[in-house]
Amino acid sequence: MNGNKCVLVIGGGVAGIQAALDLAEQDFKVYLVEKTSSIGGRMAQLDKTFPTNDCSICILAPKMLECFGHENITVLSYAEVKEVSGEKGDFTVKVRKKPRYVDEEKCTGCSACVDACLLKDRFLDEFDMGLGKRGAAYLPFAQAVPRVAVIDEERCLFITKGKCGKAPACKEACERDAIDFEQKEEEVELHVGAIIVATGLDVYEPYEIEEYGYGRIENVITGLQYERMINAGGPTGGHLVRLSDGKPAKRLAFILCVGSRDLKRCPYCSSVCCMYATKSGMLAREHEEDMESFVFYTDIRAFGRGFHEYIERGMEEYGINFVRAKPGKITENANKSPVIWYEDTLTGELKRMEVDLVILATALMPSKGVEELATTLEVELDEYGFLKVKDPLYAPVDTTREGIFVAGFAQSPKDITDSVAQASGAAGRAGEVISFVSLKS
Amino acid sequence: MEIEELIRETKVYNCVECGECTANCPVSWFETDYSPRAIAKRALEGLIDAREEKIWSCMSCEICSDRCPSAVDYPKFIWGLRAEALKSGIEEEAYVSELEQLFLNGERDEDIGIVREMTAGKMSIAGQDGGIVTSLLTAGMEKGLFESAIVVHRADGFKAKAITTEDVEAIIKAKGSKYQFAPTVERMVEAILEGGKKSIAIVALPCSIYGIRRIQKAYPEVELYSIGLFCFENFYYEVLKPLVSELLGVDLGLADKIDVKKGKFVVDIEGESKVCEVGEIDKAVRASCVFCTDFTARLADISVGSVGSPDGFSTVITRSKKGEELFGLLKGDGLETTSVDRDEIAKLVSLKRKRGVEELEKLGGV
Repeated sequence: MNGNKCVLVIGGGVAGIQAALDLAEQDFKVYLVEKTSSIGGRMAQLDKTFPTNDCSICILAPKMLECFGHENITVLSYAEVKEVSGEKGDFTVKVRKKPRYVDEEKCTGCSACVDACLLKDRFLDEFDMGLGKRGAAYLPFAQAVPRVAVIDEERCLFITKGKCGKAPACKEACERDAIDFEQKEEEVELHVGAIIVATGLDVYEPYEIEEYGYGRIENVITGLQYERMINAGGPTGGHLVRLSDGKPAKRLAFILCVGSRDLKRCPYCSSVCCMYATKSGMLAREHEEDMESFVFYTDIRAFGRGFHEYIERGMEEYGINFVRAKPGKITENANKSPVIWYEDTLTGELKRMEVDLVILATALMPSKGVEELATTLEVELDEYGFLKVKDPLYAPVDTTREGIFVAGFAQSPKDITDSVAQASGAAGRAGEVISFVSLKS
Repeated sequence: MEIEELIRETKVYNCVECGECTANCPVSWFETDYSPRAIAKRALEGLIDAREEKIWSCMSCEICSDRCPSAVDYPKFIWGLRAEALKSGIEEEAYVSELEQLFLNGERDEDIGIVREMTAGKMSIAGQDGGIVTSLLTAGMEKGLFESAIVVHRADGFKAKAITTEDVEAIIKAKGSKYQFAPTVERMVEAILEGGKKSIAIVALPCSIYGIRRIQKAYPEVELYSIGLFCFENFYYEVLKPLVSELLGVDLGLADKIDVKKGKFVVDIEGESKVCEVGEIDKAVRASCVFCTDFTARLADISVGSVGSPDGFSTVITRSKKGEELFGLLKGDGLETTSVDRDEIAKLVSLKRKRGVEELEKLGGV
C-alpha cells in the first residue's frame, strides 16, 4: 500500500467511523486505531439519540460493521498510537497492539469462554458504567465489532497467578482453540499521509462534589449510567430501578451542569445535557405511564434546530417538570431515597424533594490519555484538554500541526450530528492532503 | 470600598442565579427572607442598599462560596456590605445583643459577655485540655437531655468532618480541636428538617453559634444545647497541610494533636512536638476569621476553651440555664476545678476584636 495515500484515524467512535468511511468510499486506505477492544465508542452505550429518539446502536451497528468490513479500512482495535514521525503527506506511525489473548481470526464471538470463566460476573463492567458485571474473559458488549472476546490480563487467574483450576476453563470451553495465552504485545508500523484524531470523551466522575453524594448515596447515578440502565440490552434489562433495593424507580430527578459550567472544575458547557436529560425523561415516560421526571436546570441551552421545540414537547407531551435550580445538596433518607435540597429560583422558595433516582448530568471531558497522545502527535491542546484548531472560523478541523485533523468531542463538546459533520469535514481535509501528495509523486 | 468595586472584586458578576448558594445556606432554610442569591441579584441590578439588606443573617460558614459553581466570594461580599452598613451607623453589636437577650441570662462581663459561672475544669477522660466538651456531650446523651449530638471527627488524616450521632463512642472519637471550620450547622439543619430531631447538642465555633441562634430564633420548636469553643481563628486544611509539611517537615494528616497556644502552632506527632509561630501559617487562615470579633462564643449556652486555665484544664463559661444544666452533670461526677485568669481571656478578646474592627474598616475603605 502506498503510505502516502493512507490516512490514520485515531478513535473508533461515531466520528472516527464516519471519517474512515468517507475516506474509504473515496478509495483511500484507512487505518482505524481504537484503544478499547471494540469500535463504537460512546454512541454504542447510548439507548436512544436526540432529537429523533432513534435507537442509537441500531444506527451505529451497521456503520460499525460496514467500517470493519470495508476493503479499504483496516481496524486495529485494542491498540494505541505510540510514536509519530515525519510530516504532512509522509507520517510514520508506530501502533502498539495489546494482547487480547484471543486469536482474532479464530474467535467467532460465541461467548463459550465468557460463560466458562471462573471469575464470571466478578468485576464491574466498563461498558455498563459499572452497573453490570463481567468476568476476566468477556465480550465488551453484544454488538461489539470485532466480535472477539478479550481476556483481562490484570484479572485473569492464569495470567496473574499462572494457575486457573487444573487448566484454564476458557481454553477448555473454546471449540476453535482461539484462546492464546502466549500472545504478546505487537508493534505495527504504519505509513500514512494524514491523521485524524477522534478520541471522544470521558465522563466526569463527580466524587469530589461531595454534597451530591455520588459514590455514597446508592440511588445517585450519572447520565451515562442511566443510558445503560434504560437500555434493553443493559444490566437491568431496560428497567429503571433504585440501586439500593432494586425496586422500580418512579420519580426521577436530572441535575444539569454537574461539574460543567463550574469555574472550579469544567468551566465549559458540555452541550448535550439539556437535550439528553429531556430525552431521558421522555423515554422514562414511554417505558411507564406513571413515571415522573424533574429536570433541575440553570439555563436551558437548546440551541440546535428544533431543539427548543423538543424541550417543549418534553414538557407538554411527556409531562417533564423543569425546575429552575441548581440543587444545593442531596441527602439520603431512611428509605435510602435521595432528597434534593434546592431553591426554586423562580419563586425564591427553598424546598426538598424526595425521588427514587437522581441522575447527574456530569461534565463531559476530553478522553483520558489525550494529553499523552497530543505529546506524541505534537499537537496543542486548549486549557481544558480539547485539541486546539488552527482557526475556529476558517480551519475548524485543522489541528496546530499540518496534516493532522480533529473531529468530534476531542475538539469540543458536541452532539452526534455535529460530530459526524465534523468528521466528514476532517475526512475532506485529510483527503485533500493525500490527493495532493499522490498527484505530486 | 464602593459597592461596584466590591461586586467586581468578589466576582458577583459571575453569578448565574442558579441558587446553589441559598439552597446550601443553613440560615436561609429558616430565615426565609434571607438569600445570598437574591442579594447578589439586587446588587447586579443596582438596587442594593447595605443598610436594608439582611446581611446580618450570614454566619460566614462559607458553604455558599465553597459550592458556588461561579466562584463568587459571597462571604467577602457580605462582609463588604456589612462594612458599608457600619459606615452608615448600623451597629453589629445590636444583632448580637438581641440574641443574647433572647437566649442567655447572667451577669454581663464587658469582655466575656453574659456569664453565669466561669471556672477552670478538668475531667478524667482525655480531650484537648480538660476533656470537658466530650464529657458534657456523653453525660448529656446518657442522661437523655438530647437525642443527637453534632460533633467533628477527623477524616482523611486531620481534615474536619461534621457528623450527627446518637452514639457515645462516636462522641468520644470526636475529642480534640481540629482548628478548622466544619459545617456542624449544616448537619444540624439536616437533623432537624430531614431527621426530625427534636433535641440536639451541638459543638460549634463562635461564628456557627451565631448562626445557630439565628436559626433557633426563627425556629424555636427544637431543643438545642450549644457548646461554643473559644476561637481566635481557623485554618483551611487544604492550605495548612502543605504549609505544615513545608515548615515543620511533617504530615499533618498523621498528627496526634494540634494546638495553638501563646502564639505558637504546635503539632504533636510520633511522640514529638513540632512548633512554629502562628504568624508563619497566616496564609492558611480562613478568610472570614479576620473579620470576626467573637473569641469566647458569646452566644453559646456554654463556652469552653483553654485560654485562662492552667495546663490540663479548660475554661468553662456557662451563659444560660441550659448551659448550667449541662455543666451541672459534670459536677459531682469527677469534675476538678480551679480558678480562671479572666484577664488572660480578656486580652485575647480585645486582640481579636481589634483585628476584626480594623480588617472590616480596611475592607470598607474607611
